Amino acid sequence: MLAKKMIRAAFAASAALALSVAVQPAQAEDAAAFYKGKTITFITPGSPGGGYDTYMREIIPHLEKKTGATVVPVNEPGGGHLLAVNKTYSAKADGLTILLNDGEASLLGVVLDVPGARYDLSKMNWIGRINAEKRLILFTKSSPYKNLKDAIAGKTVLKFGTTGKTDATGLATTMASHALGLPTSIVTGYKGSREFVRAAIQGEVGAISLSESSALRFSKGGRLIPAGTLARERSALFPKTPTVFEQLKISKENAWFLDFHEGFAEIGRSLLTGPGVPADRVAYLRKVFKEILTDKDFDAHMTKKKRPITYADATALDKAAKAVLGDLSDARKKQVKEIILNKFYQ
Amino acid sequence: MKKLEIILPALIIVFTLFVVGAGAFYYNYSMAVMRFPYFVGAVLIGLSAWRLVQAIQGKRLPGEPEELQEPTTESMAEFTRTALWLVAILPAVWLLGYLVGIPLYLLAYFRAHGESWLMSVSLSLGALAVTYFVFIVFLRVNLPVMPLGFQ
Amino acid sequence: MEYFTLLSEGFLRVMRPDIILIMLAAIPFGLIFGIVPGLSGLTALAILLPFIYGMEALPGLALLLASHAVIYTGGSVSAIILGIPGSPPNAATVVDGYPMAQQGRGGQAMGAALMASGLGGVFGVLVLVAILPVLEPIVLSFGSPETFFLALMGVTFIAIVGEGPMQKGLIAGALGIFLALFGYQPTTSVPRFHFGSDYLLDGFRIIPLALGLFAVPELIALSAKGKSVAQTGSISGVTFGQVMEGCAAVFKHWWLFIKSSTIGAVVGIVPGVGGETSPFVAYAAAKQSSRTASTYGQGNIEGVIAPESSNNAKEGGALVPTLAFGIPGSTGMALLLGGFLILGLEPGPEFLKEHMDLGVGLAMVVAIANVMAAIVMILLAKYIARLTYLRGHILAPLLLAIIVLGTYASKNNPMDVVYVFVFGALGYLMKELNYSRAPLILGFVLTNAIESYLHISLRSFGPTFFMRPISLIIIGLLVLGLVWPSISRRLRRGRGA
Repeated sequence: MLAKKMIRAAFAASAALALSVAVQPAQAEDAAAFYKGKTITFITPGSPGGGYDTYMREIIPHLEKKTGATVVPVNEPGGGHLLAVNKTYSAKADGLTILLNDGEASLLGVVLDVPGARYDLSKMNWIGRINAEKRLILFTKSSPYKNLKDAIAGKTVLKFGTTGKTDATGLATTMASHALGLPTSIVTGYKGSREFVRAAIQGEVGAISLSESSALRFSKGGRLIPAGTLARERSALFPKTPTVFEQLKISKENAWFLDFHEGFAEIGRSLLTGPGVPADRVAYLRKVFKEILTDKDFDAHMTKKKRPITYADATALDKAAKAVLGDLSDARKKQVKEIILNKFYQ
Repeated sequence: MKKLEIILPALIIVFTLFVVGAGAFYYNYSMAVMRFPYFVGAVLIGLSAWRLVQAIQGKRLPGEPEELQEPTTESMAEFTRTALWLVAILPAVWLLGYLVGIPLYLLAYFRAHGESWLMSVSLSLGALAVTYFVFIVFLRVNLPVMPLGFQ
Repeated sequence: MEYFTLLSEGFLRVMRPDIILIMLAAIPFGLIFGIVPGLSGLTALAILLPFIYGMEALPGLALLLASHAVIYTGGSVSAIILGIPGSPPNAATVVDGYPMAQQGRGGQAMGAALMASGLGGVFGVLVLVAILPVLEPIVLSFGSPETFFLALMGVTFIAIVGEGPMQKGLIAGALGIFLALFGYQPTTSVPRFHFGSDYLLDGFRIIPLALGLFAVPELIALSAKGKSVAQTGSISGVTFGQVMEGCAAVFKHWWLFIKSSTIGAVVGIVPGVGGETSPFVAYAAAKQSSRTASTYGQGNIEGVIAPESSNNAKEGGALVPTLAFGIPGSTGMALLLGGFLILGLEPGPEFLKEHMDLGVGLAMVVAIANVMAAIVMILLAKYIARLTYLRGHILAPLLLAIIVLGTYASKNNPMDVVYVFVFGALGYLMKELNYSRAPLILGFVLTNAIESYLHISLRSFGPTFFMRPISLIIIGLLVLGLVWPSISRRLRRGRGA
């Protein structure tokens, strides 16, 4: 009985060994061959019709053509954009599940220990970045201040509108307010960015923070006044709006919070696979996406749709993620948490 | 019926107490989170408790039919059988996948309820066609297609 | 004068063969999505969106708008003949439409619902076109306090919506509000009562809730008796004459129609309240002021006309903020806005200045789609009603299969299917014990707006946030609504004496 089992085990082991030896050479071609005729699940936390969804669906035909696989789009907007990450994290490690990630939400989930975040970003594989947007602070017409300098020196409370405490609008507002010393009080709970843009136009709040493309759309006609860009460099869409660093003297300690925030933004809309995917397949996906995202025609096409591409490779993303999560001491994490969750909600 | 009249408000009270209690003592939510649950929970429990007392007294409310039928053992058995047949679609699609599970469930249901083979098979095949062509091919719904273990 | 030139130009832009063809394809699509329980307008838009990549602006948007505008027209038919709302807002139509069908007046109910839907849709568009030139100030006068008070007004209708004893209706409404408290709390982002479940992070969903409450009890009844819907009630064949009779009833109740459509259009314009609310509010407002209020819930045709006219009118209203600011007036409009962006258009005040003709063209699309859909359905009503002759043993499992597939398709989430049965158990108990189910849905859809906008109003404007003209008007209406029944009773008694 036992002998039989052992023989069987030995047989299986040798078969596996033979197989793995056979697989090793010519890896890139094998990875390419692997994807042919397979079905790739392409997950995004964005809802149909939104920015993430548009990027995903514009990329799919190119991805299908290059890999020869069928690509199924899946919108998984639940859990504050974190369920999509969970799903990718726990998917089979065969490289057939790709995530178009909300970088800010997934990093914030880790920093704030949000319930429902069940993934370890450091174990996942970055594939490449589709685009990243800088954020701006915009004042509304009813704002008590006309520029950042007045606001910092002012006594009147500056009301900021946000969509939630633990999303990108909340993060940008709290980090900027803390670093610049703005007299901020946050009004939160608006349903989606469009609702709080409505509130800003109506003058319910005095300021909001928006991504550069949204800022461009909603500041037309002088409804909202761009006050400063939350980045080291100016936004290409707002070449005349100076950064906060140009406008103000910012101490090294305070600059840390602005850089921390910019690190989040740097990850942007990026692509990931789950942990444990064979290295050759990850390399193959990186190559394929690089080809798609750096293609001139595709870039021009997306720019025309006002969905620009700002590609970055996996190494750059890995570095950006480490910059946000790697250097975060426990004390710092506690401080950041306090600022994001409590400081401006009195 | 009288029993059910008591059970429903009682269930609502227990459910509400459990949920609000969990928020207050287990999750320790702040007041900002619990303000609405406390208020709505109190109203809900108050209304249900009032109804519970009435139901125990056997009071009928204005606007209700004169006599509510008391369920017989026979009708209870029939209800249980019906409900179980309906719920059976869940394990069917879970174990067999939507594409196989739904037609097989229908086939079993029709046959068990005295429909002819011709009728049962043709309707089940029709359901298979609709599931495949409408939902999977045309609407591109990402249905779990294969039986458990083949996914 | 310029204004009228614009209108006729907009009309001419739509009268192109390719656009008409697209609409002819989109309307049956929308109607089927409306009729099939579980599939709703959102799913229809989500599925159609990928098709418009690369299309020209007007045809692409016509495809989306035409299919979305007629969803509730289709959904009213399932609500009436099966007692199962085709999409969640049609739940208000079940309350009186289904009893009508069981009394053998299904033809009239369908006729009234379809005519009210079609004309309501046109009415919504008229409102939109009339205020196009002054869109901005109108939308700007509705801020967070107004949104809060409108939602609060909706809550006061909980006692009125639906049939059966009021006390049980109140319990149902409170339970609906309570169930809506699960999931992310809007102002603190704390996932309330998630009990470790990913599904509950986002709270309960409206589609499984509405289907569980309304569909499962009907399925149990159908399946238990094994008889057809027609046999359990006293339906004789629906004739075309009956349907036309129902259509005529809308004109007989023209004031009710105008009132309900206006409610729909206003709720549509205010983005935060949620379009699902409008049919319930219209129903309650109709019942409140009706002379035959006591027969509501037992098959009163007014109870069909009111929700259905407001249901379709709100689409015109919801287009207002979408076009004016790029701020969608309903969840469906949010997807539509996605469509605009896909086509390279950016709605907003600048957009309207440059593309006013496109705005008018879209309004025309909605109007034409509504009329065409109503005609198609009126002609088909007689045949669709034959579903009710199918034996329960055949209809029940087939409906169940469609509900399971449709629910799954709405969010690609198998848990939704499970919750259909969980809420089904609740719905069955409620139906057996005469608890009205419509107030539960109403409470459920209003809660989020109330909680967020009370908080926002207090933080932005302080405790005197209601001291704004439109807020005060809404408060006035709210109070009037509460005391009106007793005033009218006293007036009538005075007249009788």
